[in-house]
Amino acid sequence: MDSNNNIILECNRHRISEIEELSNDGFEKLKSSIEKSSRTTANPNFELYGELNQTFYEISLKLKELKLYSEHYYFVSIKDYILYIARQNSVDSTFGHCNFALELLDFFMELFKSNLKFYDSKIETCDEFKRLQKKFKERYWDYRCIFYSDIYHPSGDFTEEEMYELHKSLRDI
Amino acid sequence: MSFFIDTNMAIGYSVVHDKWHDNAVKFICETEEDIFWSNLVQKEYCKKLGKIISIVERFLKRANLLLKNNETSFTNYKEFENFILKETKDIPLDKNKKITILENFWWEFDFCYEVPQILFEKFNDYYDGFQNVYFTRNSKLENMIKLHDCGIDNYLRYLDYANKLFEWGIHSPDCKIVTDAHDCGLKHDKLVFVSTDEKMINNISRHNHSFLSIIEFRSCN
Repeated sequence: MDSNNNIILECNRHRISEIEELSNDGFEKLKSSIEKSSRTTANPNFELYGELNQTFYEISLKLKELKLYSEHYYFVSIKDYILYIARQNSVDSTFGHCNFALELLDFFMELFKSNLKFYDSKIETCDEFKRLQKKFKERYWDYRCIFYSDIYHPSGDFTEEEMYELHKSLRDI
Repeated sequence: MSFFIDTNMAIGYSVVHDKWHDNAVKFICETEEDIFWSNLVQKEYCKKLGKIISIVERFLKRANLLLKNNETSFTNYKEFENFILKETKDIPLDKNKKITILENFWWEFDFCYEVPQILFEKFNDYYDGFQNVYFTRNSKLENMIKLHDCGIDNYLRYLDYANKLFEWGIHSPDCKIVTDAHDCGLKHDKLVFVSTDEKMINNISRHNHSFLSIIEFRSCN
């Protein structure tokens, strides 16, 4: 949903509650995945990761069906970060950052519910909505920074030095 | 002595392909004294960094999505390049830069061109790695620079100074940043203002700026 347009959206109540149920399901699966990975032995266990992936895929589809494009944009990004953390913990239970993953999902739910309130009230775009979107955008940026600087490890196919040199080569002459 | 940096110094440090990157890195990493920025500089930096990254990211994100949905195999690099370039024409990144990015990826992963799914997975990794460089540098910068917490609207306290700078031909946002530096200079002796904007530095230096608590305006390019 483009916040610059008038927000008059006929929400499909059933679909909205499906998304909420799936998100709660996602929370439970994520918590389960974290608990199981802390008890994991030598072999990676991707079963719960697979279930989480599927749940997120369904949420993503439903957001698109409802044409909640802004929320879909945030979700697609956030779910990738969460799935990365879940996958890494499936392989190596000491990887951690599980609270961050839960916080990300919590952030999405907060954004989703908050936006729905505005859509439901069928009011036109207002300053408060714009202010709220700006805050969500800033928080999302902070989460993104934390993920890439503190959590994500590149696969190693390109070394950090090689990537650095590539970036340098993109300089304008 | 301490230093106050302009937004372009912070951008230069974090953005590896910025033309002042090497200068900014040298200054920030080699200076032993405190380096400050203000709330306004920090805010401007975050906004600009997002915009700069977003163009490269838009290209990579689109290419990533194209490969995700792609089911055909590419028999050589040219096919791969043409496919991506054709579908990313609307992304306002210089064509040569797009090609540099694609070539850099392909020469590492050319063994996998026969399997679209593997090609996508590798490119997805590449895309993530690309972003990682900027965000890691951003994190390092935030740890090195001290915040002079004067608030976003500090310039209102020195409106007469800001107006004077504006009369000298300094851009309005820069007037605000210089007054932030002045405020910082009241608390930290012998403050030097550092920027890569040589034109601005020369302009200020030509005038009598003794009313500002800044001992020197230094260009870093």
